[in-house]
Amino acid sequence: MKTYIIKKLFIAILTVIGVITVTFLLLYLSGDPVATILPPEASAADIEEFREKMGFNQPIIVQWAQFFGQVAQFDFGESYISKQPVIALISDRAPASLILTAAGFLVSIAIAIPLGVISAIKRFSIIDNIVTLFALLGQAMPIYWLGILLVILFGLRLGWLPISGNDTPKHLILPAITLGVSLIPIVMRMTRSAMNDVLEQDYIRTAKAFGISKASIFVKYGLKNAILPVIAVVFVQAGTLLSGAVVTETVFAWPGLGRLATTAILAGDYPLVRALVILSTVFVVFANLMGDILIAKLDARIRFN
Amino acid sequence: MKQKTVIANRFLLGLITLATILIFTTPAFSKDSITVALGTRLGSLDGWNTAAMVDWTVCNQIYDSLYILDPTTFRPKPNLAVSHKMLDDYTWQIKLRKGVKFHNGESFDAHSVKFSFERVLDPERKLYNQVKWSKVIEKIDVIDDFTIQIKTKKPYVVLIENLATLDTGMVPPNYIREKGDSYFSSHPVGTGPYKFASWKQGDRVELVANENYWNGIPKIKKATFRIIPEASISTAELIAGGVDVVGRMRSEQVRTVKKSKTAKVLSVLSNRGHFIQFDSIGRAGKSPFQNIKVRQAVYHAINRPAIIKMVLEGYGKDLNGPLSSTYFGFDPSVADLEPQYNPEKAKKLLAEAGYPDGFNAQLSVYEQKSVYEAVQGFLSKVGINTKLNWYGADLSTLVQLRNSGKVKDMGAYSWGSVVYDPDYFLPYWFGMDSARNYMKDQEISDWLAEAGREFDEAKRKKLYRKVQIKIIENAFWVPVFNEKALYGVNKKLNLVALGEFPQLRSCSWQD
Repeated sequence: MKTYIIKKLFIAILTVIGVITVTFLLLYLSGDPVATILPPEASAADIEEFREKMGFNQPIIVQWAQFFGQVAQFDFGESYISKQPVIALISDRAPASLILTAAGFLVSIAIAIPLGVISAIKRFSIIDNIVTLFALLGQAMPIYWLGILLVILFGLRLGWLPISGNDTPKHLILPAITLGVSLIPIVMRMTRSAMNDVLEQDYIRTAKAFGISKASIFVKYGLKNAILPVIAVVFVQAGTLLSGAVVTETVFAWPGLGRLATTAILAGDYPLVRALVILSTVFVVFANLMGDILIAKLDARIRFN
Repeated sequence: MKQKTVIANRFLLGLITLATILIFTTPAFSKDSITVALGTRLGSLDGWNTAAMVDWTVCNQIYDSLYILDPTTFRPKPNLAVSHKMLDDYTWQIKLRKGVKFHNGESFDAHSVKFSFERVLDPERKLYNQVKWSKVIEKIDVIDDFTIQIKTKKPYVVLIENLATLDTGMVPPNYIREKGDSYFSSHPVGTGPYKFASWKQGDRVELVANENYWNGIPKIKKATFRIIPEASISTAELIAGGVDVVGRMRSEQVRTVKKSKTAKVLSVLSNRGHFIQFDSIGRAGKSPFQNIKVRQAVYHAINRPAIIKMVLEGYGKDLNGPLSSTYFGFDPSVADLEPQYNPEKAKKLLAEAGYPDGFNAQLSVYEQKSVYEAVQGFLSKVGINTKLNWYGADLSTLVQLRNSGKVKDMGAYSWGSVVYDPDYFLPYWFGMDSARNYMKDQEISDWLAEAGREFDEAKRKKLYRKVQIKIIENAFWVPVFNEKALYGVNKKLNLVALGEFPQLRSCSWQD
């Protein structure tokens, strides 16, 4: 188990280093943001002076090394736009994002796993077909569009729910559903196929022969074994959830990190963009790592392979 | 199976209960407050240290400048200043208003003005407007508690105009010395009609009325600025009553708001002009637009009144020449010199220029896409097959390309400002040392520099007339339209706005 975790950890660290380098290169290639930072009065000489001050005219390898050194010390610099430390801006927004992501995650699990189990038990029945169709729809529907539709229906027409913002718990409902729906199809299909595999196993037949109640068979022997690959998928989907959050936050004016990232990119606020890309990479890599470790812990076959 | 149903039922019941509890907690509507939707994130609430319109929209309520624009004449009138006189071409003596206090209790006087300017001039503080003011101000002296003297580095004709802008709000010296610039930018203190109350990053800024305001206490006691990036959502909020004002609306929003029972459209003339700039000197590589006849052909090819009527649905105004009509020095007679819509003449000019069968060209655009799609259509009719390079909201990329001389053929931009004087506009596009310059005309550059030094208004007007005429005759630009600031407003609200900036102090609710 230890060697397995160390191996996975090593790969995770390599991935993070790779992403930091790619982030640096992409921002380097997209040029320096001087034009948007300086006022219109700035002359060509002002621009040159500013470039020098910011270190934009040093050789690429020097800039890369400096960048890497700063990241290693969690020094992400100051936002060009807010003139405040990037870390402060991010920690201000992180709670809102965490709440939304967690809520979206719960919504998708709460809907997808029961649906997946039902459709596995009632395989090829009408219910199964309807559920599959629902999954297909969910997969095909852009989050953006769904969010706006929900706003029009529940916010504007019916007036039941607030349209945007995050003042009260009530404000969480529409964004959580919007974000959750994007994850439902894949979790549900995964649950269904995993459950199908398990239900065909010999020990299920044996359990049936022993006369154990159906509910007990499905939950205790079925779902418990089928849940493994589902967990793996859920953790791997952390990235999907994160990118979904960017869109969801924009639609619902939810003051989270996704929104911060969008505005930072559009404004050419590079220190902020860099920090956000790196942190979200760390988050996704860490989630994957957790998924791997969890599976290994639950399943001896993987651990010793 | 049975057990399962029970679990499912309980779960559902729980969900319904939760939803019901949450739904019946809406706060009651109060007419003592106003909520304004902003499209992008706020950066800094230190007006001297930002370039963003959203920031100024909020700063405008918190700070007072020495002068303020008269909303009818668009010329500056005294605000925290009461009067000024010029001692010579370099020296301005300004008398200040007495009895004004900052929100934190500090008194406003000549020392506050001196501090406000010396702060921006300090290169160590790295404020955004340092570049601008360090080119203008030599030094600033306190004569007595309510008189200051500003010495400029050059004869600076538009000093008073520049003291009326939103980015010159007076700041409290003791507060900033104690708390520092960074804290100040997120906890602003001014002398203005509203006091800063709170800021929830990425979500909202809340202000409360300044009950001691020297120029009349605001009628609306609480002002909230909410950041709502998605246009259709801010429109929905407006119609549902969640926000009261939505600024810079697009035409599809306007249509929705017009149909609604709860909101109305308010259009206010702004000085923002939209124009197409040609690469007249082939800065980005050889281009057909280096030929004046081709540029004139484009002028003739575009039916500008039709664009205003059909695409903008009337929410726009003719733009004749580079200056919109509210600018100092705008000369209405230049309209007669402009090439008028005449596709036949355009084709003839193209043939004379050696393009009887037309050619392929590029047009780089970052806003008002539908307008430039119409332009694309007009150009294709005379044989110029135009590819639209769409930069969407990614203005910074286009700005970077433009300033480094890489925008081929045609670029579409706009300029609007809080200084209604050409000196705060044309030199940045036509000055020889400007990165935006794609025509490099020495004569225009010289006239503009001269007008910036000339104190005689009649002489300045003459110079700007020459500039306008030369730009039209050489067809360096094709002006497309003069924007109207479009607001979506709650039907019961009387909104007062100066161009793109709402003036909350003068707003009120109808009974």
